[in-house]
Amino acid sequence: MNNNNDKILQILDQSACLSKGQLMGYLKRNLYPEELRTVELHLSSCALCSDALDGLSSIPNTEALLASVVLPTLPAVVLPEKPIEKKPEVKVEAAPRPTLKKRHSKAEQVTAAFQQQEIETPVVQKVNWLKPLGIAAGLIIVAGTIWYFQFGPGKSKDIFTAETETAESNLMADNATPTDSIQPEVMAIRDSTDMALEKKGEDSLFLLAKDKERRLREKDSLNNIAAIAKDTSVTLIAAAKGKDTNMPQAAMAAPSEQTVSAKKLAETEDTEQDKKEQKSEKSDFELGMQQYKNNNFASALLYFKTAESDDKNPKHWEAVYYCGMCSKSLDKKRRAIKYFERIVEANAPQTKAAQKQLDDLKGQ
Amino acid sequence: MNNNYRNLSDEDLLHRIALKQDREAFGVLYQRYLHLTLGMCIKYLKTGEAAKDATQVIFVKLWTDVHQHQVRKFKPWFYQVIKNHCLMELRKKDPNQKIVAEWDMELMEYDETLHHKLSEEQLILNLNLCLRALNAEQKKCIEHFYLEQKSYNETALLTGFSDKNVKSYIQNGRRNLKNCLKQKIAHLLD
Repeated sequence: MNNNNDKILQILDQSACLSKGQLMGYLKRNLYPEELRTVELHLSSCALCSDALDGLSSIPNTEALLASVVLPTLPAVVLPEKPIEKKPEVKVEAAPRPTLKKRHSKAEQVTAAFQQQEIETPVVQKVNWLKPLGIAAGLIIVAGTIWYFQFGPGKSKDIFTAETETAESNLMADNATPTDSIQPEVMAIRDSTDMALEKKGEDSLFLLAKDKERRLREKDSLNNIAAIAKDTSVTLIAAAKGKDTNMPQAAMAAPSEQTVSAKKLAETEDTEQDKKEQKSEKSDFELGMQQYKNNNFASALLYFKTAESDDKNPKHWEAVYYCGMCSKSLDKKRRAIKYFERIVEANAPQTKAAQKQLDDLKGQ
Repeated sequence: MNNNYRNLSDEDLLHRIALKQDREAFGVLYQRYLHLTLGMCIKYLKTGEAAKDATQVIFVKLWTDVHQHQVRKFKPWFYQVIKNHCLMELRKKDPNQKIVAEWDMELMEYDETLHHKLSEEQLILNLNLCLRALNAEQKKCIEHFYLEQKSYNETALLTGFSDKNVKSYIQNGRRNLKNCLKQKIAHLLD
């Protein structure tokens, strides 16, 4: 019943449009059955692809026609200017800025240009220039915070305070903007970095605690192993010395029981790991198919490569085939050819389909 | 071509073209939709040469005019751009000719997925009800194609309809199902 429900829900599905390879493959009727199904499902829901198919199927030599279409020369486009926001006038006194020489020279050019245009409010221009300065100051602070996390608390904190002071002093020296609007921003940035510092401290303590726990656990397990080994050696020695008929047997039984239990544990771990691996590989193939159906060939290829890495996987050759299909769709013909050749050489179940793809690729 | 661009959605690429005049983003979109644009133009303009010219004009229009539009979904918008251009070209050739109305009325459906508005069980139940309400041809084709997972060719053989008719019945049937479903959703949400 669930299968039927999934099938009926396919009516509502919408997938990505068909690639050139899929469309041409459909026209030439050389698609693998699953791919054919994917293409037809998409065609049933996409008017664009459906109309395109109708058009391409109505003329011969469609590939030649496609190849003859050249990328058009793109003209330069003038984007509409954004309107300048009018801000209230603020009295500004020009002040020297020794630390911002480069920007000062650029600002001079800009203000000269604006003077030529006879702007009503020169204050507005100076206000606009301080926005990038504020952003630059913020970036410097962020860079300092990152440096602090890399090299330690003491040094970076000093630098941070120095940077904020310089940033503040720069901003204070620049009287064009109302400083009230800038200082709260700096304070906010400072608060956030302090919080980040505190959090980092807490995180590092937490990590230390975790590390300690792990080491204790390892130590316990090592102690257990040592204890077991000690017991077995003691019993063996006692058996050798005492020459008691019961003792050796008991001595042999005790270690054998322990070894058996240890073996069982190891086996169950192995099988669990195998199951996990198999599950992950199955899910890799399935995930790859999902991505493939959505025409995300690059992502699909990653999953298929993981799936095909294990020769014992039942989906191994299918994954190799789809690696080839993804490579083909990504215009990596040589790689695609290599994947298909592998299938043909190994005489895998997909040999026929792979041979078709090889003929198609080599023919191109 | 930058591989990162290939993983971007159509809307992201369009956004980059509109804001930054990103030629690489344009190139990716061009590669994705060239064959579809050319095919559609061939369908409506009937000749390869006319279709080639129209394709070039359409992509240049995309480049120059994209910033004038707020495009929420690229595919249906682009489909309309191609159609409008083809219509214009046909009217230029023969202003007196009445363009066949049927494809004027075929709007490309791009419905928001209905999955979010109903639970899966409700969707399935209503789909089944709507399926029963379809006409015989559409119902047959939809059942063979979706429920029995037959290809177009196999469906044509089983029903005796031509390939073209099968496609048409499936597309129209699907559209009718969606309309029926929308009515049911509207009724349920009231």
